[in-house]
Amino acid sequence: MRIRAAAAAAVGAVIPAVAAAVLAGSTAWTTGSAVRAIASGAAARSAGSPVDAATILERVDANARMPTAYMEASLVIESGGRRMTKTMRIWEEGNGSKALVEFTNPGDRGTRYLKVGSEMWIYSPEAEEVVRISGHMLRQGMMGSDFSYQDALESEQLRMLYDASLAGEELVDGKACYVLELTAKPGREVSYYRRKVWVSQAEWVALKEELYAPSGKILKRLSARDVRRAGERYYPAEAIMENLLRRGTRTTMTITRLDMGVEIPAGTFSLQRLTGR
Amino acid sequence: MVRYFLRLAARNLWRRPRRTVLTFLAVAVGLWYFIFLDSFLQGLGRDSVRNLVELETSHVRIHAAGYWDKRDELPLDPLIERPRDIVRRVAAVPGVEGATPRLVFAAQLNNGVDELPVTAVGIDPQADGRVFSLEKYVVQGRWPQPHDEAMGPGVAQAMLGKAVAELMGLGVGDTFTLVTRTRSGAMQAIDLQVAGLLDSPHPGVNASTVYLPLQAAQLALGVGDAATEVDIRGTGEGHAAALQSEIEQTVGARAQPALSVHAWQAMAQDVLAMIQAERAYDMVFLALVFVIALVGVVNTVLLATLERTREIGTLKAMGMTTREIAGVFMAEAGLVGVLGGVTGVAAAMATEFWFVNYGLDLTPLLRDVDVGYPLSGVFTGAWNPVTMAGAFLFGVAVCLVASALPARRAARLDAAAALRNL
Repeated sequence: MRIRAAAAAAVGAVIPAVAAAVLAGSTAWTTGSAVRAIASGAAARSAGSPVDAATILERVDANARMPTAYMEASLVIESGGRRMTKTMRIWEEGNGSKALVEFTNPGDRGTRYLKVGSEMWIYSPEAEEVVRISGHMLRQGMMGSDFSYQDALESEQLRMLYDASLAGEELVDGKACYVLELTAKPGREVSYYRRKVWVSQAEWVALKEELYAPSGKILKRLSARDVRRAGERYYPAEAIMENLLRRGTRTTMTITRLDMGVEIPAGTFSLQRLTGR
Repeated sequence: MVRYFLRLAARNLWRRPRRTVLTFLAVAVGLWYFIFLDSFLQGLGRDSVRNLVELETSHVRIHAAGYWDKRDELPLDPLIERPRDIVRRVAAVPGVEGATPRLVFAAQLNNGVDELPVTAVGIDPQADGRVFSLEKYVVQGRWPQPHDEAMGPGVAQAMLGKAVAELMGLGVGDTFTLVTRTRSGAMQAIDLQVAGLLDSPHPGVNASTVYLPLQAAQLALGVGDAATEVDIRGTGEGHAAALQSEIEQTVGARAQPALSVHAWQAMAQDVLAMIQAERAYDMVFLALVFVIALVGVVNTVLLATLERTREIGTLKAMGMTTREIAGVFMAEAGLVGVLGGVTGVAAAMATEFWFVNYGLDLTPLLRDVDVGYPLSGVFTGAWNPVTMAGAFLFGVAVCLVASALPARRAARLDAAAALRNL
C-alpha cells in the first residue's frame, strides 16, 4: 500500500492506481514478518484450514511495507487513440509517506512530484514553478486519466480503510486466487467505496482488482502480469489499469528496476530537491 | 442686449462655416460616442447582473458558516443540514419572494468517450423556479419532474446547457455519467438521462453546468438531506443588502450550527469589478472628448480673434467694453457647444432607439470566447437620460471654458493698437 501511494504520488494519478494495485497485492518486497506470514499462509492452505479475509488483507498490507526503495518505471497511457510513453525514477521512504518522482522521458524531463504525508507538490521545469496540489485540484484527474491527486495521497493500509470478506476462490490466468470483497469502513475517507480483489494463492500478488463507486457502478479494472520472483517474494512487473467509464482508455505501468532498502540521501524529499536547485 | 450679442455671435459663426461645422462635429461625435458607450456599458451591467441573479447567485444566499472561504473549491463540508427548515424560516421574512435549497458540487461529465469538468447543481424541481428562472430557458425536452427525484432503481433525470450537450454529443433521452466524489471522498459515478436542454443568456449555465434533482444528488453524494446553499429571491437587486441583514437576524450566526448570509454583490465581485473598470474607461473617454473639444474650440476662437483684430478695435472704438467683447466670443463658442451637443445627443438617441429596442446579437461574437461577462445572445443597451443631459451640458461647458481665455485676450486688445495692427 505504501509503495502504491508513493508511486501514485509520483505520477499523480495514473501510476497510483496501477502501481498501487500491483504493489499492494504483491509480496515482492516483504519484510521478515511478511515472509513468515506468507509461509504460515501457505502452511495453512496446505493443511486445508480456512483462511479468513482479514488475515489475507493483513498479509497484503504487511507485504507492501517498505522502509525505503528506488524504482525505475515506464508508463504507457492510451487514451482516445493517442499513446504516450513516460519514464520515471521514484524514490520513496517511510513506507510510502514520502516520495519523489522524476520524469526522464524527453517530453517531461525535469518534471517532478513530491509527496510528504498528505501534501503534494508538482514542479514543472518549463514554468519553473512549484504548484501545491490542494483544495479543488485534489479532485482533478491528471494526465488524461480519471485518477485524482487524492488517490495518490491515500497511503493508509487497506485493512485500516476497508472491511473485508472472502467471496470465494477463482482462477485468474490459470492461477488460484482468493476473491476479497472490500467495503469502506464507516467514516473512513477512501477513494473507492468498494473493491474486489483477486489475490494469487501461490504468489500473494493481486492479479486482478475491480474498483466500484457507491452507486454500484464499476469504475476501473486493474490486471497484473509478468509476475516475477525477487528473492523470497513475487511481484508483477507489469500492471494494466483500465478506466471502464471511458472507451479505449488504459494505462500500463512497467517496473524496470527495483532496489529495496537503498539509502536515500538526506534532503531528497524537500522542495529544494523538487526544483532541482 | 443679450439677444443682440447672441445674434451677433450666431452671425459670426457663419462667417467661417466650414471651420464652425468641423468644430461642432468634433463635439457632436465625441458626445455621441460617449452616450452610446455609456448605454452599452449600462446595458452590459444591467444584463450581467440580471443573468447572474436570476440564473446563478440569487439575491441572497445562505451557506453553512465556514463554507464561504472555501466556496471556489465547491466543498461538501460544511453543509447546511435540514435546509428545508431554513427555507421555511426564511420564507416568513418580509421581502422574501422565494427560497430554495441547492447542492452544488464539482464533477466530470462522462459520455463514455470523453470527460468534461462541469459544475453540477442539485435542484428542487418544485421550488427552484421560485428563485431562479432556469425553467424559462428549457429549449428542448422538459424540466425534471418531482417524480424523477428519487434515484431509485431507475436513472435520474438531468438538464444540461445546450453548449455542454453539443460538445459532448448528447441529446434529450441520452444517458451519461457524472463522475464526482462523495462527502467522504469516494469516487462516485451517477448515471443520468438528459430530460431537457437549456439555452440561457448566461454562458456559464450553457457551457459548464449540469442540473439534476436534489434528492438524486444528495443520495449519490451521501450527504443525507443536506445542501450547500439556500438561495433566496427578494424584491429586487437594490434591496438585496437590506434583505441580507433581515435574513441574518432571522437565521444567521445564532442558528445551530451557524450560517453565513451573503447578498449577490459579494458573489458577483468579479463582474462588478469589471463593470467598475469599464466605468473608469468611460471616464477616460470623456476626458478625451474634453481634450478634443477643447482643442477645437480654442483653435476656432483664437483664429477668430486673429482674423477679427481690426473688428475688435472698431467695436472698442465704438464703446463696447472688454467684457462685452469677450462675451461675444464666448457666446460663439457656447453656440458651437449647443449645436454640437444637440447634434450629438440627437444622433445618440437615434442609435440608442435601435440599440435598446432591437439590440445587438452577440452570439457569433461570443460563441467561442469568454469575455468574462455572464452574457450571451441578443444584447440591448439602456436609456440613460441623465447621461444625455449631463453630456450635453458638459459639451457646452467645455466650449465655454475653452473659449474663456482666448476671448479675454482678444477683448483686452487696445483699440488704437488693434486698428493700427492692420
